Amino acid sequence: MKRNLKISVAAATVLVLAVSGSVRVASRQRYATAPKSSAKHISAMSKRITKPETPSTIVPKLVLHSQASYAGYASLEGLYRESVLVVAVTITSYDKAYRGGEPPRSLAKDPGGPIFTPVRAVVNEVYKGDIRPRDTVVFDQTGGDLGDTREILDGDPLAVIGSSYLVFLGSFPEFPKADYILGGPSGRYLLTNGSLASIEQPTRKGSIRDLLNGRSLSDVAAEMRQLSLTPPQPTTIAVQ
Amino acid sequence: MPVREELTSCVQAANNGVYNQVGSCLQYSQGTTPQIGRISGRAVQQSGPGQIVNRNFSITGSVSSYNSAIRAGAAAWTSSPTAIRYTEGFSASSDDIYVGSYDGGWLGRTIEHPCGGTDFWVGNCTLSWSHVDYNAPNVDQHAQWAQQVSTHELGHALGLGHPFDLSVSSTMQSDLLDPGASLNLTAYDIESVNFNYPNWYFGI
Ligand SMILES: [Zn+2]
Repeated sequence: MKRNLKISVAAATVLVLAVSGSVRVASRQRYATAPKSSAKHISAMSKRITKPETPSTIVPKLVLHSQASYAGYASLEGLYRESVLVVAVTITSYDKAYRGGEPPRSLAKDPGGPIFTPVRAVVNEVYKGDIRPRDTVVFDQTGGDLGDTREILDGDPLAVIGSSYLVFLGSFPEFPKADYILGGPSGRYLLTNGSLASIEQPTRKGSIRDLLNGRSLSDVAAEMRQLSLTPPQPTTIAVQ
Repeated sequence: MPVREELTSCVQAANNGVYNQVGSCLQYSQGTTPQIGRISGRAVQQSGPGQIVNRNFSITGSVSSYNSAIRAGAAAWTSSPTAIRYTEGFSASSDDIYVGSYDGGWLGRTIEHPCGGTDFWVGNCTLSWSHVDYNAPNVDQHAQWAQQVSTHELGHALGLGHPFDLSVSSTMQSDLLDPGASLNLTAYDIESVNFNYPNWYFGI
């Protein structure tokens, strides 16, 4: 179903990409053109009325680190256009973590896929998307506490309760309860005194994290406002 | 000091708590030999000169359309001048790749057992097996990624981390999987894995 949706909605984009010689087909671009009355909006609304749960206070016996690879973004425009929501938020709580992914081949060997933590945040500013200030948004992060296990995704730790971030969020139809952060550390910036700080440092020169690290939020917000007024250009490959 | 001795002494210092992170070793190394300052491995499974390290990998999951690309990704390590020989099969020590949909922005994600995949040097920990998750909806964005992500994640399974040197060309760069890049291992990759499994680089 997902593929069909992608093909039908993004067909025009694919055509443009083919004509322009660009080969990166961003499946999530469909959100940029999705009507605001789509099912996404409804699921976003339902996310806002889910009651938060008490964060885990269990001390984990086993701490496991994992590592991940991400699509690269070469510009704010690429990240912005792929996002469903772009918001400045303050983290308020974690919902109960869950184990996602495929069932393991052998439970004796492997507990299964990643632990995910739904992170709950109140919206301070909206730069893109059908949501308002003071609404609550929920996004999944990889890692967290489940049972006696703590999983930590190196380079992209859980957002800290009480801290504020600029986040670029996407949404998969398979997971209607929560959004996710585009590109992991590329899609989340700590906000301190009105400036953005990359989650993972150092950053690679020319990467989106490098481009946004240290910039003022007002400056980035102005650029995003301009992008919201400009029709999307054909996507280019993030060669960095 | 020759590169190997320099890095070895740094790693020993890291194990003794003088340096906390492998990154320190990289910085340490970069000071005198920037071209080699890229060792990002942690969990060393020592192999002697001339020895071959046989490893299994398996592919499971709700999406099967990437299987051939995943196999090619594994073959990249085997067909390069390294000690690694990957063959397909599930076992207690296989690196298991699960292909499906995950609510995350990542393409692939690896957790190494029992060493935990930490960025911190873990002393004598020997890798047993790894669990790799393959996020099909994200990988689906570009055909090349199917193989690149496989190579990258199996690099983690072999004990490699993300390069500390962010300017180096490597399949192990975390967020810069350029779809136009070569599907082959880079010189950096080969030297890195040969640091963990010193067959070619330090051996023969
Ligand atoms: Zn990685």
